[in-house]
Amino acid sequence: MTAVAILAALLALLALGVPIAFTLGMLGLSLLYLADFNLVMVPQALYSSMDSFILVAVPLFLLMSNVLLKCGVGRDLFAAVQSWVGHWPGGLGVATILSCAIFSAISGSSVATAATIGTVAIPEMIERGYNRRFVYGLLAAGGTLGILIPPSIPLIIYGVITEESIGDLFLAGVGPGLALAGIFIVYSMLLARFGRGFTRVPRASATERGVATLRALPSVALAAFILLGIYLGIFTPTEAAGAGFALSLVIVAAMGRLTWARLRQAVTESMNTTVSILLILAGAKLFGKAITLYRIPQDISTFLTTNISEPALFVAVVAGVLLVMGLFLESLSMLLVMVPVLYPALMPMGLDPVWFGIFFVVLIECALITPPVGLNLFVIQAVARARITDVAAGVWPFVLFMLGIAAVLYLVPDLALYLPFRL
Amino acid sequence: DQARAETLRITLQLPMKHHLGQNMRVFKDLVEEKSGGDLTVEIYDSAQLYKDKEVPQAVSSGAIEMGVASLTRFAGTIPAVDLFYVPFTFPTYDSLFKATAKDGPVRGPIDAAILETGARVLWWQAYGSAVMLSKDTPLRTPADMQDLKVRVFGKTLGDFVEAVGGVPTLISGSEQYMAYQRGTVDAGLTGITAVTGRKLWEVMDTVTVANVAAIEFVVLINEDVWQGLSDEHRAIITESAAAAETWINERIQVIEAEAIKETREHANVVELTDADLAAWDGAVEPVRDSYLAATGDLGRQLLDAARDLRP
Amino acid sequence: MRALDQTSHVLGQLAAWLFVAIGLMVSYDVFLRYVFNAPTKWALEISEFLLLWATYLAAASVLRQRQNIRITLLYDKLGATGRRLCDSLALVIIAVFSGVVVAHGIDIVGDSIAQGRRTSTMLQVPKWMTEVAIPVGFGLLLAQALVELGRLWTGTARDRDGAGDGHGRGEGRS
Ligand code: NA
Ligand code: NA
Repeated sequence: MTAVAILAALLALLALGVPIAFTLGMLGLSLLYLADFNLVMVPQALYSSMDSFILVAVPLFLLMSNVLLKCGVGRDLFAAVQSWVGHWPGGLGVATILSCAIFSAISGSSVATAATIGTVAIPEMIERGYNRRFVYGLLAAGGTLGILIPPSIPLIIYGVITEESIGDLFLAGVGPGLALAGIFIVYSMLLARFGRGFTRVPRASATERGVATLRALPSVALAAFILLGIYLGIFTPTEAAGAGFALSLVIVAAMGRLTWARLRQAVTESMNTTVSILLILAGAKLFGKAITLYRIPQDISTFLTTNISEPALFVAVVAGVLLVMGLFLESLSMLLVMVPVLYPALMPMGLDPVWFGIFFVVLIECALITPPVGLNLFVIQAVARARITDVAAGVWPFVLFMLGIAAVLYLVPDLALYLPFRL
Repeated sequence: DQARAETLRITLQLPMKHHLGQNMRVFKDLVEEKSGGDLTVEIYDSAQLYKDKEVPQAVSSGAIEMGVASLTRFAGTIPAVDLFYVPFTFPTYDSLFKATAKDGPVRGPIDAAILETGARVLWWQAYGSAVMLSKDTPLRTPADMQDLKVRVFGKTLGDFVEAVGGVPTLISGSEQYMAYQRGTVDAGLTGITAVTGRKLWEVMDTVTVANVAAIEFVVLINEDVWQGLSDEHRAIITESAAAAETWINERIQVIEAEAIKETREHANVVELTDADLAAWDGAVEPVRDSYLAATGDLGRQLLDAARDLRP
Repeated sequence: MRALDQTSHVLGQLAAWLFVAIGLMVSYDVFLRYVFNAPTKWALEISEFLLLWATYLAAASVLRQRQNIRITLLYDKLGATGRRLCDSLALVIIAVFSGVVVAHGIDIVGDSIAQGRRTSTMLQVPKWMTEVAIPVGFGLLLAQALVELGRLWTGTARDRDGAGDGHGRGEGRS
């Protein structure tokens, strides 16, 4: 009963437009106050929520991708990929997804990925007669690869909450991320092959290809550097973020693209995003403590584990709940509210926590593109100046693909776990 | 005075199935039984409320009634507690138990210093000793650690690695598997039970077993809460704490022996000879010096007391 | 009010460059480890220290720029009065929350100074040095929230692009 009242209050405050960080923080504070707990817990929670070297990766990955973005790397990347695959059937769709996948390896956020690639790819595809709704859906969904292919801010936060290794989580995201990208690519090609209006782009000449590829090479190299660096143990994820940021500065400076104005813009925007994300984290920490003292996560997880003995059923129920919550809740708060509730049930169910992190992120990807509340929908709406209803209508095939990948992940856990643990 | 019904909430960073968690369960059952239900003990395990490093402050400030913290968390405020991380100070369990006995020459002054922070120590929990992990070559002598990047936890162990010519690198418990696997570090210090718990032998094939450091946890109760309890309840808690302490001291040697046995099935377990140990003991002289420099009179008193306990 | 806006802005910019400083520090540390096999002892701790300071120092600036992440689906459909009421609710919540944080945050700082508490890490930094960031940051946030609330009801609120608020311009939100 208490749990239902808390959830109702949470949804009501969020719907009224109270910032997520303070919705969570104030609810936590009120719960502690009502049960007569010592409110010194409030600043303590705010302190300890920031006290982590892993979190340092959040501003650094944002700085890196913002520097590259402001200096036009997204355009180079799309141009290069397009010069190779643009002439295939549905080639611009293929180029879009490949660009999203590559950019995902230097960006930890789905919104940045969707915005960066969308700005260049959407006008190109619309011009070639691609179906609008398909284009919007493709970009909204392609952007979500940003949080599955490492680096990934939600995976960092998951690792901080559960104390799982960020490195393992990152490596576990690679397989499902590439699989999802592959599905999107095949879908684009089939749609173009059997649909109408997908005008092909002429094949690029060898010179065009060479020039475009050369321009995009530094950012691809940076992506490879980060992924391989983490994989080979050259550095920890936080260090990868720091080194990646420093290198991104070197790259754009060497290309003669770094101006004071661009740098300042990148730095200011990274700060705004970092602080708004970390404030949510701090609010969620307080909220989490309060509901733990009310024994809500414990009760829910006991309820789940005593009533559900079959892991498959457990996973299906969790997926259903997250899918519904994802319609209305912003993705980060969904992660922060639900992981502490579900985590204690993983061990009794025999589910690997790293695997569950990836499974959770796939459902966050759904949440990002399902109406009414989905950050990527809003981004595509803003970037393409499209009607939200058109964007929403375009995403549903991609939601099905994501749910499909979630099911495959359950049946074949090694899709995620092979890279970190079996190789 | 009249005994009131009270709830004691305890924060614990380890899961209930860990021997520290089982130990808390022993305490809970005893307290609840002896008080006939007047005292209720709620255990919040697996760091669901507080991470280890937050526990001392959470208990001192009264944000929670009780908590379990690793002793080294007090090192910032009471540097002398790191005596247990000055390597090879307690070569046997016998000497360690004498040091951690209630009101003993080592534990007594530490408990008193902790009490001044607003938290009373109820009992000490032995977590296990630290061992050295390496790849291919065993760390038999101090020279073997020369130029190796070594995973450490805490400042004093960092000083130790530096004293023998290695490069200390702070890596959290959750990242250490990967750091070994990917070669971010060449060697590491960790609790023997972490070797089995995290299957570290999959990535580090050589384990040098020596009582490098003793990892100790303390169970704390907020002093105001303690003073607010009735005499009867205090007596119940004191008795239960003593029983829990006996339980864990008996248990820890068995747990360690089993952990070493299990490790032996997967990794090359190296045990040090007396000559090897003497070489290490000599090499850590600079660590003792910097310990004494950082801790003043209390450190001198504790180190002398510890020396007297050695076999 | 102007002075407060200015303070928030300057501290926000300071925080933004502190994040840059953290990035350079972390990469310097990796560089030293690889080239000289001698990482710094301070980079890790100082970057954590700066992360906390930068985040809380910038909270007021983020509020002033309406950059907090929120859900504006319903808000966007409301009229002027409805929006003003929603904004007031949000600002009151922020102010009350910040007030509690400041009051208890000062207690913690005082306590840490009295006990000479230090972190149990390599550098053993006095804890109040980080803890004080919380009352400072939230004190500023409290003041900023009250000023914004005043502006809301005296008609001096700056023109706000409501639709853009919740979703930003697509920069790096999760
Ligand atoms: Na990514
Ligand atoms: Na959604």
